[in-house]
Amino acid sequence: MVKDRRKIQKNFYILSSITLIVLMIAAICIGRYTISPLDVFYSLINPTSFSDATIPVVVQEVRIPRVLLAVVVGAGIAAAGAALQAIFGNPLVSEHILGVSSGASFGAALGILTIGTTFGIQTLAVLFGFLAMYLTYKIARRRGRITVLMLVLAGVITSSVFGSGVSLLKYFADARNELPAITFWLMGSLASPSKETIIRTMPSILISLIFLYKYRWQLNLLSLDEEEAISLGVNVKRMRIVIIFFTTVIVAAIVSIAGVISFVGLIIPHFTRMIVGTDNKHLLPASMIMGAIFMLITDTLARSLTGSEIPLSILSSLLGVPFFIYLLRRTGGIWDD
Amino acid sequence: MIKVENLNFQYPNSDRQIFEDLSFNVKKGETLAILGANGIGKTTFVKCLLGFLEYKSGNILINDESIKQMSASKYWKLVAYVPQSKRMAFGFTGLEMTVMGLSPHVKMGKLPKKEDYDKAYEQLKKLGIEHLSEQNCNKMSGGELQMVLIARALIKNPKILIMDEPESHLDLRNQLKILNIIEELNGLGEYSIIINTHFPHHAFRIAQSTLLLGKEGYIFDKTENVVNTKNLRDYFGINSEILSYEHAEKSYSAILPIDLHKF
Repeated sequence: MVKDRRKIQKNFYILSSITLIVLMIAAICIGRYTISPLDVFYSLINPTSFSDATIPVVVQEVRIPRVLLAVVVGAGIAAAGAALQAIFGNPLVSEHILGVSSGASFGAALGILTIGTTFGIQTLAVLFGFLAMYLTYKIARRRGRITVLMLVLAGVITSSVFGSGVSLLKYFADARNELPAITFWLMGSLASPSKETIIRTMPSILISLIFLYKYRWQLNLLSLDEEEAISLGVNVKRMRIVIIFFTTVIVAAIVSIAGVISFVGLIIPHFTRMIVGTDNKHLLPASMIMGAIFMLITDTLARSLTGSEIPLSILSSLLGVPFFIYLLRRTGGIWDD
Repeated sequence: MIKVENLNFQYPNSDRQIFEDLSFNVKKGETLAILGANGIGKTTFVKCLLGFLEYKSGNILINDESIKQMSASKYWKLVAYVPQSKRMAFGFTGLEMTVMGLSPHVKMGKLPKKEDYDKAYEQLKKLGIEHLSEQNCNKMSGGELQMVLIARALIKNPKILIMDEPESHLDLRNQLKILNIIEELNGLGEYSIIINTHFPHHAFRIAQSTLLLGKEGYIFDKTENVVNTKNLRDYFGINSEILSYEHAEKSYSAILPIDLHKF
C-alpha cells in the first residue's frame, strides 16, 4: 500500500504534466482561426517566414498570452482553494464560499469606476478581498471555535453584502459603457485583459503561489484543531494571516483581471485529493496542475464552442456543480479517503 | 521537572474561582493523574499548563524556568500534548500524522526530510503500530488513532507528556493498551507524564501521585493516599468500596461504586 500511493503520486505528476503541455499546445491551435501545431512551432522559431502574417501575430499576441493566463489563473485559484481548505480545516470552503471573490469583485468594480489603472483596481480588489475574509472570519468565530455551518453561513452573508455593493455600483454606472463592462467582467472571462495587464498582474500571483508552495507542509498542521496545531509548535495566528494574505492576493488579482470564476477553488482540490491524498506536500502542487488543466479546457471551450465568448463562470459552474453535488453527498463534508 | 506554584485561575467575567493556590510538582520519571468530577476544571487546568489559557497568578515552572518567560518553540520542544482522538477534517495517514510531531524541528517553509519520515516509521514500530503508517486516520478505531497521536507526541523526544483523557471512549482492551504504554513510558524514567482521567482506578494503575480537584479545594499526594473511599465520597459524591486483587505478585485495585452519597 505504501508503494501504491507513492506510485500513484509519481505517475500523477508525469501524466498530468504531459496532459497539461499537450492541452496547452492544442489550446494554442484551437480557435476561430485554426492553426496547425507545426505553424505554431514556426511562429515561435521564425515568425518572418510566413506569407500570411496573421498567423504569428495570433499565436504570439493572442493565443499564447491567453493560454498562459488560463494556466496561471487555474493554478492560482486551485492553490488558493487548497490553502483555504487547509487553514479552515474544512474541505467545503473556497474563496468563493468565503466571500473573498465577492469582496474582491466589489473592490475591483469600485476601482474600474473610480481609478481605472490596473494597479489601482488590483489594490482595491485586494483590500476588499481582505475585508470580506475578515468579516466572514469574525462572523463565523464563536467562543474561539469555527464550525462548518457558521463558516458557510458567514460566507453567504459576506457575499450578499458585497453583492449588493456591486449592484449599487452597477446602478450608478454609465449604462452605455461601464455597466456592460462590469457585467461581462464579473461573469468571468480571460478574453478582455490585454497583454500588458496580464504581464503586470502575473508577478503578484506568481510570488504568492511560490509562498503557498513553500509553506505547503505547514498547511497540514494548520488544518488540525487550533490547539493541536499550536502544540505541534506552529505559530497558528501568524501562519494563518500569512496564508490568508497570499490567497487573498491571488484571488483578488485574478478577480480584477478575469472576473469571478466559481467552483474551481472548491472542486479542484477535492478532486485532486481523491488521487494524491490529503498531504498538502503533494496536494498543493497537484491541485495547481489540475486547476491549470481544468481552466485551460474551460477557457478553450468558452472561446470556441459558439461564435461569441461564453462567460467562464457559467461554464465552470455547469461543469463543477454536478461534481460538487457528488462530493457533498458522498463525503457529508468530512474527508476520509 | 514541572512545578506548579500557587496557581489561580478564573474565567474572565466570572467570579467562580476554578482553582485557587494550586501547588504540586511532577519529577522526571513520574506520572501524575488528574482526577475530578465533570466540570470541575480538569480540562481548564490542562489548558493552563499548555499555555492555551492564561492563569491569573502563580507560576508554572519547567526546570525552574517559568513558562511565561519561555519562548513557544522552546516550550513545545519540551512538552508534548496528546489530545483526545476524534475525527478530523482531513484523513492524513498514520505516517503523515506522526511526522507532524517533528514540526518544532522543521523550519518554516521547509518539508520534513526522508530521515524524518524514517524516524516516524520507527516511532510507529516502537509502539507496534507500523501497520497503521499508510492507513487513513479517519478510518482507524479510536484506540488506533490514540496510539498514532501518542506516536506523534513522542517522536520529538519531549520531557513532559500531557495527555487529555487518552483512554476515554475506548473499549476495555484499548484502554488497557493505552495504560500499558503509559506504564512503559513511565518505566523508562525519561518523561514526566501528566494524564487527565475520569477513572480513579486508572490512577492506581499508572500514577505515582494524583491531583484531585474539587469545588472547595484540591488534594495532591501519593495516589494511594488520594484515591480512597472518603475522598471518592467527598469529591465524586459516591459511596464505594475499593477492592484489591493480587496477581503475579502485583496488586490491582478497582473501585466499586455502591450508591450515590446523600450530602
